[in-house]
Amino acid sequence: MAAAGLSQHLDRKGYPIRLVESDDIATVGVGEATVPPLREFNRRLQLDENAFVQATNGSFKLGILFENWGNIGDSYSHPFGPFGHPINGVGFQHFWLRRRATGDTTSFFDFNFPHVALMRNRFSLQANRTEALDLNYHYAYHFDAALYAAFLRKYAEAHGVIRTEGKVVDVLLHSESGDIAAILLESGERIEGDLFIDCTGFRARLIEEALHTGWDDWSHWLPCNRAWAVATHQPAAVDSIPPYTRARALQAGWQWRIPLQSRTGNGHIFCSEYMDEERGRQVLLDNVEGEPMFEPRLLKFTTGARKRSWNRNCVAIGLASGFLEPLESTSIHLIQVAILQLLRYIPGGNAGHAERDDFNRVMAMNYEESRDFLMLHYNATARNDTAFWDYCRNMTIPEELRRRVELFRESGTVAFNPYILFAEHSWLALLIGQGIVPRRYNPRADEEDEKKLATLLELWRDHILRAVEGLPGHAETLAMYCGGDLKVRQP
Amino acid sequence: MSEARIRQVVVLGGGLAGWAAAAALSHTLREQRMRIRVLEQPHSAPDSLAEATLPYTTAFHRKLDINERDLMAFTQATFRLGTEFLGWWPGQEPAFMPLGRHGAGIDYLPFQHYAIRKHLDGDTTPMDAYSIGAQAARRGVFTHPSDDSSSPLFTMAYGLHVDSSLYAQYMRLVAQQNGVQAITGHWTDIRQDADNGFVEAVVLDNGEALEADLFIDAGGPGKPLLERGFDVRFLGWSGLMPCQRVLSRHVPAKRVEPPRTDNLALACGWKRRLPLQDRVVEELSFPDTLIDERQALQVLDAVKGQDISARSLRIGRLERFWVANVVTLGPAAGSLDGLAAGPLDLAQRGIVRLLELFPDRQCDPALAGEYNLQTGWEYDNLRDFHLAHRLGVPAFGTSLRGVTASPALRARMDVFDCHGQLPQFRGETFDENGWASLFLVQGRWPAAYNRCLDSLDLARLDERFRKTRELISKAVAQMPSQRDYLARYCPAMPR
Repeated sequence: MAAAGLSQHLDRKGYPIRLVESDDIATVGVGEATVPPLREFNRRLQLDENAFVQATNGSFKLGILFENWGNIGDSYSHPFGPFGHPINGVGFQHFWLRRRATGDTTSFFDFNFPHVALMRNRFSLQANRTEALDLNYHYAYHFDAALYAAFLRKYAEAHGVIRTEGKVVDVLLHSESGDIAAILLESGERIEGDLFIDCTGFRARLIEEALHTGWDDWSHWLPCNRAWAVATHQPAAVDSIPPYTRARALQAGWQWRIPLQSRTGNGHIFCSEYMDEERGRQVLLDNVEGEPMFEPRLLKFTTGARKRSWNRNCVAIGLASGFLEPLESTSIHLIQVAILQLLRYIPGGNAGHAERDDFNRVMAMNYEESRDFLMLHYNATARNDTAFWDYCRNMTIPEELRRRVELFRESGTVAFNPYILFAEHSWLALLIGQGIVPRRYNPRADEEDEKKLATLLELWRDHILRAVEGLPGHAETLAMYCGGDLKVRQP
Repeated sequence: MSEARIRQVVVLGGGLAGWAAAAALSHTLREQRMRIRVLEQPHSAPDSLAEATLPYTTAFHRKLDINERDLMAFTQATFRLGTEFLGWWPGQEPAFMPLGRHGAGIDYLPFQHYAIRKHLDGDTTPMDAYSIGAQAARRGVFTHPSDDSSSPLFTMAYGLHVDSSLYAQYMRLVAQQNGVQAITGHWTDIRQDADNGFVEAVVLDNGEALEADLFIDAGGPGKPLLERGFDVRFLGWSGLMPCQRVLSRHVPAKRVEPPRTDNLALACGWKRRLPLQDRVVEELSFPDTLIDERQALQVLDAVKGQDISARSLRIGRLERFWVANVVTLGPAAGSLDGLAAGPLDLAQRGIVRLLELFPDRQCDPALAGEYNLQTGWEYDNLRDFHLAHRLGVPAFGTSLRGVTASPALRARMDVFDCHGQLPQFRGETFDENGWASLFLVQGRWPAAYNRCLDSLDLARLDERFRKTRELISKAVAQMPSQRDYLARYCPAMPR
């Protein structure tokens, strides 16, 4: 992604880019889930969407379905679109809370178009606009990360990036400045550069092994540290494909399900302090649907972030700069954010500390907000069935997050944040989905006539439902626009 | 509706902030049926003669369903497309700081990057050529901006010049129509709940007690309530912004008054000119440690007794604005030196924020906490934006020249000076475009341009810039004079 993104924007004569990778070093991931801004990244690269989805065995995604998080049996989604519509500048949740206070039990999520669509496995590429209600939604993708990487490689090479196959055996530093001068490959080749981008994953070959930048450990907030991953076969012909990632909470962690066209990615993420590895493997296999395609693979990790993503003349992007578990599909997004920020500050003749510091400020904010967003899934829970959940429920959360939860609990208002990554509707989905019920709502919601409000809300709900009934199934949409060998059984 | 809802509100201090707050609360929370009283205190600190506002005013008026034509006719208002800075920054003369943005029909990267690229290539076209606000103001013409993003009018934005006491009167009328009561008197004491410190009542000098669930301190004589009863500190910035004394007076309007504020740099401070429909307000801002009142009058070309209004700003902000059931608004909450945002702008933002976080009788600290954080950010960012105006102004005497940038402002300038980028934050009063415009009109050119523009075809860029200038000139040529526009749209009512 970094090579493709940079090569698109930078003059290849002024900025020759080289990429070093080794075929011997496996990449992580059996199926990747993303968030909607990736569409913008692809659009900039002028990728043809249908060709891209087909080539990466991809599918569309309207949100993430969370099961058993707030409590066992609970279910909610983080859909990629707003809830209802503000009335006279007052957020929709306040009106929903007002109706709720008078006994209306309609779910908040019934007012969210992508939620209602994903629960019925419906998806259409066409934006839905009507006069009654603007049915806004965004979507993202599930895809095979290795196939996406191949797609990006082709793009980058066409834009002048020179790829070298090989293993880095040494990193040479300038004796005076301490900056990286060159990397030495197994082949004996020495590659010099002005700027080094470290995309070596957990190993952090440059930013940590060579520059000793340091790591902030967040495992007391995000304690999961193991994952077993396996892909399962999809039947030859499918009835439907879910247009969402599923995250199901289990005894000491959770399990993902990422539906691709011809197979499904699965993984069980858990904390080894509360469950041993063998048991974690068994839990994965107990919970998959369909036949595993290979033996489950184990990943070990620690959650946290690099103290500085940009240190000296080295910028870490991806897992080398931080690791958060994939609960909200943030990892590819954080890569994208880093690339766009780097493009803002790509050093010229006079690279300044100020630019580097601002890059690090923005990346730190992004990692911290993602961390807080993830953490709340574990912390805002009534689950007390295992020691793991007892720990999560009782852990001390960061002050900023505590403040946010308190404000919402008191007033139904989502705190303002000058560095925001997650949209207000994302926080609303999370806070309400995890079962946090505000004590009151904004009194301006009382300004609307009660009967009119009830009628309006009913109208909106019906409208969404009818619009969703009119959508094709996700599998049909895939087969029509971007299904290679996808067979859909007609009902 | 919550049983714990606020039943009574007392606003301390009439004036701009107090009446705007009373009007806003009584209008947007009609169904709460609150009893709202405004304590007008004789001998309170006087408001200015006129205010220059930011585009946010329009949004505020819309929230209150206020008809702009009515309000403008009542308050002798004129339009304001920006500020013409005279004698401020070398090489940029005069320098127009628009309320809209520079550049039109240019996208992908923010305008400043292209401008910097061209400047470093030797181009010396003044930035004003790329600001539709500057061009319209210079020709004395005006029309409302457009929502159509393909029109150059899309990049224009306006605020208002209003007569301060008429504006307060207008808001007072709105509030009174909504049932707000005005009381005249002085409060001498407060009654507080011994357990939680909530103010139960303010006691007037005639012994009457005004009870309420929520108190809005909109300024009055003496220190804000929070500094007296609650031990909240005032963070003074007069060391950073020494021009805290303001003398103002009315002068006759010229035949053509452009839709802008003029600001002339002087050795002792600056002189602003705010046109109203029937007259113009001139205002001199200066440090009273530098010159005395007599000298200031000379600078204003006025003589004593000539209907001069004088006021002193308390520059800085409260550490917290909302504690328990007391919310501080307007000049009591904080003041800046008026170079970019005025007290009315700050009051309106505070009022809207209060409506967004409107409490019940419990006044949960989570609400106050959020209010205080947001408002604090706002003041601190605005402080930096104001300070940035004062950099490198040769006209200033030595005591005004030394500007100490806060670390945040320093970092922002350092980032800009490298490649013209600006750190991004959400919800700033002046966003990236505002900061970029300020630096560009100051002639603050970075050492290098954004590297993404390395392979840019300069001939094509020239062509695009030429088109932008043309689009702007064409649009401006079709605009009516502000004088005609006002005469049709909102002719002022006689005073």
